[in-house]
Parts: sequence; structure tokens; C-alpha cells
Amino acid sequence: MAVSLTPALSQQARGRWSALRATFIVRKKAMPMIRYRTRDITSIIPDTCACGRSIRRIRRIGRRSDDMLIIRGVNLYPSQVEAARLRVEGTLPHDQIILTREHGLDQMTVEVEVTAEVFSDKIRALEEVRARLAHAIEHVVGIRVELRLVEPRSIERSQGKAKRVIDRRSL
Amino acid sequence: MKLNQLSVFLENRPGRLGAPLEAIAAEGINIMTMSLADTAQYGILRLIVREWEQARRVLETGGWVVNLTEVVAVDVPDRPGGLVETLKVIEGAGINIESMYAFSLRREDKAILIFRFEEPDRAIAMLRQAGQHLVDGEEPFRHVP
Repeated sequence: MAVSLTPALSQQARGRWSALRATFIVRKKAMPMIRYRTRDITSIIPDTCACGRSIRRIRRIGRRSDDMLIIRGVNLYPSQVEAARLRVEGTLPHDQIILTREHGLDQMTVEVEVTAEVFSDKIRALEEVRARLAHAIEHVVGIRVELRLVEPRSIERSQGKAKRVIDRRSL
Repeated sequence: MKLNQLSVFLENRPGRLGAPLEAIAAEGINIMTMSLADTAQYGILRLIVREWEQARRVLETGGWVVNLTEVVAVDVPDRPGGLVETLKVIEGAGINIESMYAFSLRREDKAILIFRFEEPDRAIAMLRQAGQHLVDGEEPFRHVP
């Protein structure tokens, strides 16, 4: 198997961030090449290692080209959280995912802005909405999430679009 | 006997309580009575003001989520056991009290209690039947500047 960066290994690829891919090269004439797009972003370190080894090195993978998150080993897309939120109440406009690491474990908090439709004078009713949202998201994600109800417009927006994920875990 | 109460959703963090109250004060609206119900995460601020439509508009424009609920104001003898007598009537009729708080103003020997009932109309009928005095429409506001 050959591991390369897009575009194909060349002088241009050195030092630039690009996607990592793995290619199965098969000698048999009738079989096509199979290439996996890992979606991990990295770049080639052009210098040789200080220890003297001349093997080609790449930078530590810090991010992805898609918006997939990995929380406690589980793969999650923000769109899944959005779908769960809309399933519970189609009029809730925004959610924000906040990731932290506490005592070595990834923690996921989802903040949802309260709307007039879900707001009630009864705390019991609000807590019920909170529980339904948490349950719907946990069902999709597979891990416990903390569901926080927040005031409208308290989720920061950039260019009108809400910032979906805040990752406070140190990589 | 029925008053309009506004409920406002507030996050439980510093400054969130002062902000809506400032907005209302800026309109020259005086708050008759209020209560704050809290959970660890958020609170519900309940307000009774004479100019509730204006207050609601101001709060909604300011970005707060506001609800309108009808509550019942009951006159309760301002002495030990006064509220207990009123509650006996309500509970005796099997009417569910969803929330309750006291009016901040005192008049002579009577205190006013604000109730949110599951069935406000039945509660009013029961209370009247039992001879309880309900505080009507404009009366509470007469004591508010």
C-alpha cells in the first residue's frame, strides 16, 4: 500500500497542507487501484529528522477536510445533531456543539437556543424539552451529552451563520 | 381576578437578570410584583406589570423569549393561617396549583397571593363560592405608582 498526499507527491506538495490518502497498488492487470480518501489534513515536513533518519515525515494530523468530529472514539457529524434537534422540535433554529476534555474524557455539550414555541412558564415543561433533546441526540451519537438551553441569539454567529462546533480539547 | 403575567427565559449567568429589568425600566414601566424561578442552568422571571403589552413588546424586541400566562390574584387575610384557609378551599376542590408567589405590596390587613392554576376558571368559581375574595382587574394597580 502506498501512502501519499494529494496532489500526487511532487515538489509542490512539500510543506503545503493537503489530504492524506492511502492507495492499494495491485500488480494484477485486471484489478483497478483502490484509493481511500482519509479526509485527514496534513503536510510533508521537508527536512530530515534531527536524529538522522531520512524517511519522509508528515505533520501530526490536526484536522479534517470534512466536519466530522471524533468524540470518545465515536464519529459524529454536526448535521446529525441538527437532524435530532429538528426531529424533536422543527422550529428550533440553532444548536452549538461544545467539546471539552475533563479528566481525560471527551465531554460534549450541546447548546440550543430557546424559542417562543418551546418556552413555557412551567419549569417542568422546559425540563421535558431538555430531556427530549438530550435523548434524541444521545440516540444518534451513542454517548451522554449535556443539553443546555440558552437565550436566543446567544450562540455566536459569523456572517449570519451560527458557529456549529467549538472544540476546546487540546490536540 | 385574572391578571396577565409575563414569563421571561433567562440564562443562569451574571447580568442576565438585570438586562430585561433595565429594558422595562427604560420604558418607564413599574413592576407590580415579580418572582424568579430557577434551575441550575436557567431561570424564569415572572412579572406582573400594568402595561404588559408594552413590556412584552420591549422584551421581545430586545431578543428575549416571553410567554403570557393568566394568573389569579387572591386576597388573603394577613395573619398567621390566612393562606392556609385559602389553600384548604383550593385543595378541597382538587384544583392543582402550578405555582404561587406573594404580591410584594401589603394593604391594611390583607396580602395578595398570585396563583397559577391548572384550571383557573374552576378555581375562581370555587374560591368565590367559598367566600374568598379575589382581587379584581385594576385594584392591584391602584397601589402601584
